[in-house]
This record gives sequence, C-alpha cells and structure tokens, in this order.
Amino acid sequence: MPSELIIEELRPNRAEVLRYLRLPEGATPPAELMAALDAAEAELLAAAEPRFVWRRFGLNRTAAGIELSESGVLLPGRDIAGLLRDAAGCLLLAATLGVAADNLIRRAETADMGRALLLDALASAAVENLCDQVQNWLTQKFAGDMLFLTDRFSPGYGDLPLAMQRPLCQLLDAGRQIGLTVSRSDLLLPRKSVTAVIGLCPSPQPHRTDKCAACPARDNCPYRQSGGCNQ
Amino acid sequence: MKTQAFERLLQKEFMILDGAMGTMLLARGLALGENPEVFAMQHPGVLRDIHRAYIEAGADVIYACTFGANRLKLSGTGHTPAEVISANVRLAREAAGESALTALDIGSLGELMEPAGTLSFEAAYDCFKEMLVAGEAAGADMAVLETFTSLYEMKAAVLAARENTKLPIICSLTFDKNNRTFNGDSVEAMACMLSSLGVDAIGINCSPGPKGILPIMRELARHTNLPLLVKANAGLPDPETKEYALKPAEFAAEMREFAALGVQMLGGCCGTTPAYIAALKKELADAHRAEREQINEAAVCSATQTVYLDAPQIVGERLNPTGKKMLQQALKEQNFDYLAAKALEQQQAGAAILDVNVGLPGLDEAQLMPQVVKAVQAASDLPLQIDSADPAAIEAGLRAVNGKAIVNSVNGKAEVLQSVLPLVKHYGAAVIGLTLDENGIPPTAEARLAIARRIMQAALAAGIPKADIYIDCLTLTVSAQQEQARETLEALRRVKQELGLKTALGVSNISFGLPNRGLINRTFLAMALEAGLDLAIINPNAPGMADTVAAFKVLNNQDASGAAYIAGQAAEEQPAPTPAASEQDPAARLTHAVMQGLKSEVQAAVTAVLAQEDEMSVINRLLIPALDEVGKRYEREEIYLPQLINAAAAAGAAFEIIKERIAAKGSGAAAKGKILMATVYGDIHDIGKNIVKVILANYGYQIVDLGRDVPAAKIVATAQAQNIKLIGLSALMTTTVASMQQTIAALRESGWDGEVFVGGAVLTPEYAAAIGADHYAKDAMQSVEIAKRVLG
Repeated sequence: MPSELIIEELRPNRAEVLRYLRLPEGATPPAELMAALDAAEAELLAAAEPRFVWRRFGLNRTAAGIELSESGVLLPGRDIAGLLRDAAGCLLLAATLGVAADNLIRRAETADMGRALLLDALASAAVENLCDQVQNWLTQKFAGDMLFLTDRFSPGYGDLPLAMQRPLCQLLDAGRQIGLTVSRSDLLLPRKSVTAVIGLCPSPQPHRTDKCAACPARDNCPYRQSGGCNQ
Repeated sequence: MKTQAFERLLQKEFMILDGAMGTMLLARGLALGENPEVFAMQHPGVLRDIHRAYIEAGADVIYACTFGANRLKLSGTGHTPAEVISANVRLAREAAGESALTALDIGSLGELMEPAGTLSFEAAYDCFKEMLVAGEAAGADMAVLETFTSLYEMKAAVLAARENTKLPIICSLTFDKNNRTFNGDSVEAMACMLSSLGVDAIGINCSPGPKGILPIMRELARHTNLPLLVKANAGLPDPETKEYALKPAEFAAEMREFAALGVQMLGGCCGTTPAYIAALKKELADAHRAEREQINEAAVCSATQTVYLDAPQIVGERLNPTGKKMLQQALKEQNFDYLAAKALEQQQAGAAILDVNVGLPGLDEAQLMPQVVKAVQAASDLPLQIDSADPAAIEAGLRAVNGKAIVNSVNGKAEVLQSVLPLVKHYGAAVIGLTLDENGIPPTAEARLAIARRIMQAALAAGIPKADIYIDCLTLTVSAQQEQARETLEALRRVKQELGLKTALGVSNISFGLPNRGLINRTFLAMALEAGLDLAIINPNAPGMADTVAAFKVLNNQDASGAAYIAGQAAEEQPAPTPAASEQDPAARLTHAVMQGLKSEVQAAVTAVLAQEDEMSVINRLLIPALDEVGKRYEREEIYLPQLINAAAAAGAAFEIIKERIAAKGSGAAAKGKILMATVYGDIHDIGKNIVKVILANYGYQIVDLGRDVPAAKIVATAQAQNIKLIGLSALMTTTVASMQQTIAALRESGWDGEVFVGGAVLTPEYAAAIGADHYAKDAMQSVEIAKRVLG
C-alpha cells in the first residue's frame, strides 16, 4: 500500500445527506431533488479542498485519567476511557473540507437558499466520508503491525468536552498543517471539519460506539425515534 | 537608523535569515502543544544558544521567539504579549550584538478571519498593534509578518505596523499545493495588494519545501518589484514520523535555485537547524542573484481575484442608491442581504469590479461604508471600487476592503486632491480622477486633458504609481449637449495617448431624456471602447451592455479565439417557458410556479398578474395562500425541506418585484412587523436561522438579521433601539445554548418588552422553556405560526 494516502474523490453518502435534509425515514426522494443533489454535489466536490493530518501517540494511564504521551494532554471522561480500554496507543485525526467549502455555502445562501441547504448537507456527509477514507487507510496501515483501530470519537460526543478541540488541534499543529482553527467557543473553523481520537489496540475492536448515545441531539432527533440513525 | 541597517543588508547579494525556532525548541525540551514563546522566555539559556547557533551558521537576521506571542494564543498562560515579546526580543538583541539584525517575528493569529471565521479585521489589528509596539520598544530592527494564509489578516498587521511603528515590514505567506493559501488567497493578489501597501519585502515561507515553493515564487516575482524572501521547510514531512525529508546539503542545493529568480532573502522554516543555514550560506557564497525585470502592471484585486487592466473591464454600478428606491430602503434598514444579492447579480452578469456607493442624505456614510463593504465581500469575491465624495467614508471603506481597491473619485480641485490622495497612497489603492475642477466641467477635450495632467502630477507627487491613476473624462447628456459626446471621447483618447493613463467612464448618463436609452448606451459604450476605455462603469444587468464589452474584446483581439464570448453566449440561452405553463391564466401560473419553486417562471407570472391586480391583492390573494399550502404539504410530509425552501425562494422573487413597484409608487412598505434574528454569541452555525429568515420574510415580516456569533448586548440594544417585539434566536451546540439563555436573561433584565422564540438541533420545548424562551420553534413553519400569533 502507498506510504501516503491520496484522497481522490469524496463520496458523500446520499442516504446520510437525505437525513440531514430531514427527509423522513423511508421516504422516496423526488427525482428533481436527486437531480439537484447531483448538481450540488459536483459543485461541492469541485470547490472542496479536503485535507487531513494525523499523528500517533502513546497513552499514559494516570490517576487523573488517560494522558497523551509527549504532551501531558489529558483525555477526560468515561466515554473516551471506555473507547481506549484495550488501547496500547491512539491516533489523533483532523480533517477539513477547507474554507472554500464554507465560502461556497455562504455565497449560495445569498443567491439561493435551497441550493445552500443541499450544499451544507452534502458537505457534512463529505467530511464524514473523508474521515472514513482516512480511517480505512489507517486500518490497513496498522493491520501490518497487528494493531486494530477503534471507532472515531470526537470532542462533543458523550462526555468528551468540546473544549478538547483546542488541545487536539494544537497537538496536530492543525492550523499550520491543514488550516484548521478553533473559535473562542471551541468550534472548528472552517465549519466542515472533524477532529477525532482513534484507539490503537492489540485485538480487533467491535464498533462499540452508540452514535445516538453520544449525539448532542439524541433527545429530540426524529431519526432516533424511528431507529433510523443508528445504522 | 534601523531602517538604514536593513537597507544596507538589502544591498548585499544575499541576506541570510535564520532557520526554525520551533524545531530547535522541541529538541531542547518543549513539549508538544506547549506554548513555545512562554517556554523560551522561561528558558533564556536555551533561547540564547539557539540564536547564537544561527548567527554562527551565518544568519544576517535572527527572528526573535515571538511568533505566537499574541493575546489570543497567550490567553490562559498568565503572560501578556508585551511581557513575552519584550523579554524574547531583548534576549535576541543581546545574542545578536553587532553580528546580526533582530526581527520581531509575528505569525498568523491562529483564528479564521471574517466572514468565514469570527475574527474581525479590527480585532486582528488590535492584536498586532500590541505586539508591534512592544517589539519596537524592545529594540527589534524590523517586523516580519509570516506564515499568514489570509491577505486580509496581513493587511491588518501591515496597517498596525505602519500606523504605530517605524519598523521595516516584511510579509510572508504560506501556500498550499494549488498556488493558493488555505484561505484560497492567490499569489497574484498577494503581489498586487502588498506591492501597493508600503511594505519593504514580500515572500513565501513554510509551504512544501524549496522545490514546491519555486514555481509559486516565479509567479510572485512576475508581479512585484519588491525585494523577495523565501524561508522554506526542510522538504516535506513524513506523514507518520513528521521528520523532514531534506538533509542540509540537499536543502541548500534546492534553495540555490531562488537566486536565478532574484530572491535576495533566504532562510529556513520547519525542520531546518543551524546546519541547514550553514549549508545555505556556503552554497550561496559563489551564487549570483539575478537582475529582476521591472514590472509595471495596472491591476486591482480582492484576496482571490486579480483584475488586470490590459483589456476593458466592467465595473458594476448598481450598488448606488441614487434613484433606486429599494436600495435606499435597504440601506436605511441596514438590510445588507439585499445589497449582497445585488452584488452577486452583477458578478454573474459579467462585472469584474463592483462600485460601492452608500451616499444617502440622513445616513452616516462613514459608518455605513465599511459595513456594506464587508457584506459585499462576504457574498462576492470581486475587487471593489469605493465611491464617495466624503474622505471619511472613503477611508473607512478602504480600511475594510480585502484587496486593492479603486477610489472613485478625486477631481482637479486642490482641496479634494489634498484630502483624498494621501488616503489612496496609505491604503495602496488606485484612483479615478474626474476631469473637472473649481470651474466645473470644461467644454473642450483640450481643457479636460489639462485637468487630467494636473491630477496625474498631484497623484505622482503623493507617491501613487502612474499605473494606479485612472482618468474619467465625464459623460454628459447627449440630449442636452449633443456636441459633448465627441469631446468626451476625444479627451479619453488623448488621456490615453498623451498621458499614458488608464481611463474610466460612467456610460449611462449619455442617454437621459432619449427614448430607447439602452440603444444609445450600447452605441456610446462601443465608441468609448474603441477610443480606449479601460473601465466601463455600467449596469451589467442591462440588456446588451456586458455583451457589447464581450463583443468588443473579440473584435479588438483581446479574447483569444473568442473563447470567453462563446462561453458567455452559450450560458445565456434560456429555455423557453413550457407551452402548458404559458397557456394557463397568470394567477394559476403564479400559484403553480411558487409551489413548484420555479423562480424564473414566478417572475414572468407575477409581472403578468400585476397587469390585472394591485400589489396587495397579489400578496394576500395569491402568494400567502400558496405559501400556506406549501407549508401544509410540508407538515403532511408530502414535500420536504428543500422543496419548502425552493417555494419560499420563488415567492421571494415575486415579493421582490412587488416591493419594487410599491417603492416606486411611494405608497409605503408592505411589511407586517419587525423580527430580530440572530445566532447567539459563540455559535457560528447559522444556516438554520437563515432558512427561517427566508420563510418569515416571505410572509411579509421585516427581518433584522444580526448574523451569527452575536453578543447579547447587541441584541438587546438593537431590539430596544428599533422597538422590535419578536426575537428569534438560534444555537446548534449544547455549549452555546448557555449563551442563548444568557441572551434571554439580558433581554429580560433590560426591561425589553417582547417575546423570544428559539430553535436549534439540541433544543426541545422543555429545554426552551427552561432557558426562559416564550416559544419553541421546531422548524421554519412553526416560526411562521409564532410570528402570526405575536405580530399578526
């Protein structure tokens, strides 16, 4: 396998996009909507500048919690401790579609809110796909060392505070490496970006993360009620 | 003195800069993620060793360890920028002695600038000012602004340096693979903007190693006369180990290539050490810096688009309230969405530059201009032309511009030249000079040429390069002064030939008082282009105007193979309305078009309906019921959110036409009541709020949109000042719902008497009640119900 992953094309999951657009579970999307999504997807993929950076860390298990090696940064909370229970180390990952995607969506809002809505949903799914591509590649890469990856876990999920965005971005030098910044209220900018912790374990890992349990919208999500989101 | 020392270094064949600081600190005990500047301050011995090692390696300039010593990055460390900068600059000065100069090193602040981010130009300026003042006081010899990815942020830093210190200024950006920064800013725009902004050298640092930078530097060198700098990484980092690929000798050999481009300041960035700088010094010992060709381009730019005046360009004139009722109303209501939409329309119609004029009696032009400039820049990436007679408004506009702007305008009056030209120079703009003076507009080409010459001399004396002086020979109305059209064109021709200046002309004045004005305008435009017009200030949306410029470029051999013309014509072919639709009666057509979200069809249908019915009847009898029906279908899940939005946008197109007619009749606005909307402080996810806004606006409510990341105090002040009785707040994140609660509390405490509705992904009716909201809106349609209940 290549020593470096080249992201060729993002493939936003269409079912996920339709959920972001609030189509009810099982609804048949109108043909015009699918055609408009095709056009918006082409536009988004032309504008997006997917970038990512990752780094491997050792873990020190201290009385205060799990600490990332070389840095003293603590990963607080029960959820991340659960994720990393068997982990020998971890990977930090940051990925973004770049400012260009945000600009495309913002400018579309001025001209055509409907198009902006589609672009926004597509971009959310696209950055997830970017993370999936990176994670799949990392999975293969570490399989050679007999190491297995856990699911991704991001600040803001479960009890891992959103305030972890800043130290994680600092450890990855994400501003300089991929242009990813953190606002004073701990939100990622550009907006279509993700940071995540992934455990590196000596044994194969179940997909243990209950996405709904970790989601801030769990209490009133229409998809959770229908059981549609947690697939 | 300091400047002289820097000037002397510039006379050398090469000026050697030092290498990486962070790399060295990491090797000497800095932990990952730890603040390097504070670490360095606390380990002066380590810092001194590093500086000395670089000087011994041959550096003529060392960078003090101040890169990230700004108040944003230092917050939480317990140290101030002044404290850290003062200590680290003094230490560098000591280490340098007489052997090297010390640069105050200022990196990008690390937050994203507006409009993509939340950092305002003014806040960035304040951060940089604090650093620069401290650095100069501590004895720095120059200011290096490096690793920036935003030209807007760079402009804030450059102005902070020029307005508060006497330090020489060196600007360096970091580029990605596609010759653009992470922010999308281009190399050409960097050259165009910074070459005019009064800095001392520009260049590139960090980025993908010397080989990767070379083609970017070649592009930069083609568009600037400023001394050039390169501080490259030691190649590309290994994705896993983060080790850099190049060894010192390889690095030095690759860096030697820059001598052939005439680059004179060379050093190392990430991954380089004193060994790299020593190798670089040795490599350059027998190298020769190539002589650079002088550049003399006429160009303006935004951060992403550079417009060269080597072929005629269209300046969109429609952002000017004179004679435009809707625009006047939008400015009074600070409805910047309307202006942004007009900006975008002109861009799509072929404008290359946008004129911005906010002059309206009763409004504070200087206060409004920067707000409009920012709103237009958020929607469009075209360069701007700041159009005002008020020097304060011109200055406020020029400050807010992200790019190199044009000032429209000065004229031959001594007082105007004295007050405006220094602003043009200070902000690195180009300027349009009108050929009139204290005695009015002279009737002959000869006399206009004389005024043009006077303007040129005054501008040159103010330090403005000749390429940035454009002359407008003034279009007069041909129905009143028929002989003047030829004089204008003659003056234009002579300004071009005899003075060698670029020309501008507002075209549409020509046709006042004549039937079929478009025909006269197009014909006069073609004549002016043939006479040598460079900037056609026109309405690009008027039929045939942009086409005339496009056609002229083909005939004048300025559009290779007519490619742009052919592409433009292909894009303009509109599909004919379907026979079925055109057969229906106009009212049915309108309802159908709204419900299907067919914007262009709506525009045609509403015009037809308005021939038979008055405006209010169309709103109440057709549009609102159509929207209600769409809303019901959405509730029944027969249609989905994207279709709801499309229907609302289509109705919006109809409202636009109706409002224009009402405004033209002067019979007052059709608005039902005001609603303030904002995404709360700390939150930047505003698409939900914007969707609700579109829907509410189409039910006839006037929306005062304060945007995103809005402080509670601003919401309170606006609600009170404008006596707004309904406020909609949005927040996406759990963390920012707290900010929503604080905003509601602040509203209640202020004694404001009104109701609040809230929405956002993590909210529930119970949660909304708990934070003190009066209403919870599940979606956009519920917002309409709430608005109807509260405002009627």
